Amino acid sequence: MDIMLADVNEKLARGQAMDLADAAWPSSHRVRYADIQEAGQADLIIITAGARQKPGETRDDLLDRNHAILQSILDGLKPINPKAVLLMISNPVDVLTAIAQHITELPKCQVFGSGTLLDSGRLRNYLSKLINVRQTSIHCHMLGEHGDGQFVGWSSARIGGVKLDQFPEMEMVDKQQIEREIARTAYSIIEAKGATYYGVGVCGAILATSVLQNSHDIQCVSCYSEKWGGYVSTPAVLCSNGIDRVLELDLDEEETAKMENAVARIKDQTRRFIQ
Amino acid sequence: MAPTVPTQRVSVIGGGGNVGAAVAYALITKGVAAEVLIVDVVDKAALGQALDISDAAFLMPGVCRKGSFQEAGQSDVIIVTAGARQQPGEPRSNLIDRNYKIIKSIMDSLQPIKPTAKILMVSNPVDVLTHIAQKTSGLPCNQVIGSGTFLDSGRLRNALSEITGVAPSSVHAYMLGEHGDNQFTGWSSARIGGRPLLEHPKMQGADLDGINEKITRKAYDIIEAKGSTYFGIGICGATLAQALLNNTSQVFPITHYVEKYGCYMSWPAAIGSAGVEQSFDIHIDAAEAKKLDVAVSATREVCAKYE
Repeated sequence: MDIMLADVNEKLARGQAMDLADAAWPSSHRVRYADIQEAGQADLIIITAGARQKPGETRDDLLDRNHAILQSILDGLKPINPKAVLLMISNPVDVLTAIAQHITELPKCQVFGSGTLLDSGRLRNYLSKLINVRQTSIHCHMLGEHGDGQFVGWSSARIGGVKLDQFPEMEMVDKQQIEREIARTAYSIIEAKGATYYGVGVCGAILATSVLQNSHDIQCVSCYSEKWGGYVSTPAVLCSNGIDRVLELDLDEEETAKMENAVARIKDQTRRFIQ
Repeated sequence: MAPTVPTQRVSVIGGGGNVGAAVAYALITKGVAAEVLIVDVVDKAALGQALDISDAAFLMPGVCRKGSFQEAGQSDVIIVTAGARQQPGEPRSNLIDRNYKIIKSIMDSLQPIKPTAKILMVSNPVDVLTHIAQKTSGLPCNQVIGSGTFLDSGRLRNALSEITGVAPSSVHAYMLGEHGDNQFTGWSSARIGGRPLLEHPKMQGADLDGINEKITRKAYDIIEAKGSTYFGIGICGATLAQALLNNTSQVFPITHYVEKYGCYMSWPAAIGSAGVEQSFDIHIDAAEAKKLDVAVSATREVCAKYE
């Protein structure tokens, strides 16, 4: 595999590429610096560039700063490989994914974002400890708009085919408290070490693997939903073209209202930047 | 429900820092151990790194969490990345004195150490500190190794790969001696496809001293560009831990006690769950023997203070 690193800070990108090349040689992968034009020709383009979330700063505060950065990046990538899959990771991810699709005019299936993948993972990590079952066997998703507008799809949650609420360990559980704790995880990590990157790094790598290997596995990502009429985080099947199909969960009344709110919020924020 | 005890535990002492966290991250993403413990005197840093790395637990096998020194002492592999950083103008002997105190303090805190544990020293100066770790831990020599010139050998292979067009893992060449300014390339023993490297058409007229210097400078170049190095050493630490845990008997150029020269130095060795299984007395020519002499003398002189 050939991995290219592009960044407005060329010196830093070259330094990272050198360090990563030192890590890549045992598995015969190649890592190098590339300018943004060349990056636009890749099969998969991952965007992590953006202003860093400051301790205490909400994701929405980032939007103005990150939109300007995104516009500049997308201009630099031109002419973008028409077959490229674009994976957005920068925050606020759902909005930036929608904006990126609009600006590049790539097919909607080819543009998706990491969305609530990590949050879904945190939820599954939590439930895994509670019920003592491996995360991969817990089917429970964080949905909506990654950030303060995300919510758990409790009504569709299952473990080994059994509804989550039927497990005795769930009797004493305060679901709202779980949601609050998971939402705070990023802030806790930033407070302790200054930034979060290892967790989201693995997420990016896993999504990249799904695309490059055409794996058709299901992950919760920010994708274009026909049902909701916009980009939002919901489970989807991943393939070499990006999104193969979006799964529309059976949501109860409360969750449906939350989903409608999330989609509306994303559209509102996107509207500010799309004429 | 009673907690289950994992069968493969690796601890990273100094896991709160960039290098330690990179090693732990590599261990998790490579699926090396059932449990990775992050241990550090700075509690908040250890917690932060453990939280960040374990965030991806739902996608990776293995568990990563903050651990205590006592728990670390019960690991199968103990990786040490903690150490003092050289202050501007500080004499090397002073730096090593400070590191001796740190390593001794770490080994005391780990006691009692699991008798089958292997210690992998990563902190610099790695060859001297591996010696100190063995002396202060009480573990047998073959169970205490250092990352030595493994990373440098990888950098060498990357450089030779670019010149010859052959994958780095197929270029059999080692950086040897004492990790640092005294390290040297084993040109006479280097091979590609069974043929001497120096006979390869693309190596004709190559500036061998220039290549050697470039490799030795690599760390400085990376530090100058991005502030520190950690991804490369992270994968190296994880690869060595994997060989120790899975008893692979792979051969790596690492710091270990070489009987012939009476000291810890970077030399090829086969490693597995017993630690060092075999040491290989690699062929060196007259020029390389001179450089080895410099490296060995330097290491022995310093280690003599810490018997």
